[in-house]
Amino acid sequence: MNVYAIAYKNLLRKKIRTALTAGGIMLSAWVLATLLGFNRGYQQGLNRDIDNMGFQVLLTAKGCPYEAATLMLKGGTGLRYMPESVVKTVFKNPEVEKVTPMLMHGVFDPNKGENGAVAAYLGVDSESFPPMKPYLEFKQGGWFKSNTALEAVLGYEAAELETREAGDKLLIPGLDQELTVVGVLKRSGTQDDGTIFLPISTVQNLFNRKGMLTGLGIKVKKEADISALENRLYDLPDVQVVSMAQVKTTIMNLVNSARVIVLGIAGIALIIAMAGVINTILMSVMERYSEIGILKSMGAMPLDVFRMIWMETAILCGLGGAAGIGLAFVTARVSEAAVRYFLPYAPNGALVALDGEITGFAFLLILAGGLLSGVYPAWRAARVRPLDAIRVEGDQV
Amino acid sequence: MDVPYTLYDIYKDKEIVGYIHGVNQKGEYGGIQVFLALDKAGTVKAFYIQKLTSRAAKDLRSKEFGAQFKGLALKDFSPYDPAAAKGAPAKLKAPSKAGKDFQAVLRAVKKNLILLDEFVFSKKEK
Repeated sequence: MNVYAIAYKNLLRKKIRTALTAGGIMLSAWVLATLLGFNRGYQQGLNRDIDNMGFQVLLTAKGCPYEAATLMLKGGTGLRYMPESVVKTVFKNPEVEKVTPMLMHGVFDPNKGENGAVAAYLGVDSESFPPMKPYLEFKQGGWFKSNTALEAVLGYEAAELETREAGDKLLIPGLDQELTVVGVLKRSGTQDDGTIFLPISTVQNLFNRKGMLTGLGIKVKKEADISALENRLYDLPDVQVVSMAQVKTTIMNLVNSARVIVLGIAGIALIIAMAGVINTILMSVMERYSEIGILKSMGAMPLDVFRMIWMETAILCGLGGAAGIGLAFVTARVSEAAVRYFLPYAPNGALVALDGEITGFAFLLILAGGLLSGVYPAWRAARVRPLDAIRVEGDQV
Repeated sequence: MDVPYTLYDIYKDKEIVGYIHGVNQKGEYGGIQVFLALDKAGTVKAFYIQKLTSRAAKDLRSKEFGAQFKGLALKDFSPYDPAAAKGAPAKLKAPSKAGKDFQAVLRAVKKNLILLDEFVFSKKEK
């Protein structure tokens, strides 16, 4: 029988104690893998949401840039208006590849729910907007024929809610104005799913906002210096520049601050699990004091005893760690639902992204922590003197 | 629709005394959400339109319009043909300008009653 088999059999001698210790390690591994997966998933989701906007820089009227960006990301209304002439000014910059003007307008609809709600319409340019959003595909129909057409394109969820299909009519509350639905988009998993798109000039005309915009999306050329462009845009009067890279960095900084706290909690869980491992293995060594003495009197070297005890720790941590990572995979969607409950404005897509790198790292960290915890009990066992151990056995008899 | 209907039990202490059932219906200008409160015999006790986009929205959501449905049951809608928009209970009067949306509301009510009969009442009979 080799040292691995002996270590395994020793663990089975106290099944409940072994199971409880492995359970503690499993929970630590689960928390660690889930948190690391959440960090990656959130970052990927944020990148995807921002990339799906189709532009790297957003120009809005003066106001709080983060509020404006958040509202735009979630398809809300802009804060103020800026003149349409800004399009030409921005286009003069050599870094700019494309621009797309947008005008968001909300109308209070008293017939939605008990107290009414705002119905929001996003006016977009029929020529420049679609190329900026190449990922948008149509379930039915297509984009508007012109920027003045009384037509609408509905995101997937907006169409579901309003039970609209291409050819159906929409009525703008309060204006008594009919529009024809000319397209329904496929589900994209972005904020566009809940958006009602209208031609920009139609929105300007209907809501008396001629020559006004709430946002200007700017797509920058591939090799262009975005910072240089941003610095020049900052000089424009009464507009503010929302760099999606900055928004991403700011949100990630906030997420990272929260992550440090949560990882601290995971670290405490890991330390508690390690203390449990030390306790379990040390108790096991104490209980087998005389047995270890007999092993040594039969010729086992201190290194053999050390390896045997250390192997018990390795098996315990290996099994607990693997079970914890398995649990993280199984409960990933539940964890994601819980995160979404507390963070309703979290990015779209999978929030807990587990992969080989993350789970491998979590497993190795748990294993390393466990092996470190096993050093002291293994060292104590290796130092047992055979005569003392046999004498203790004799005294007990 | 991802969630085409909602159904709630109404309790008095621990006893079920009725049901609230809401369905979606395609209207002329948007989705209509029609809720009915029914007693255990399947008779309408209250009518409520939660969401509606219509030129006659105010009238269709008024208490007076909703009160017309009180006391009606599935049998009263049996003769009603939603496709032909004929055979509606005589006591139901359409508000002016309601047009197709009035018919959509009637269709929603009939659908509501049929589904509730399928979900609740016919199961009880079995």
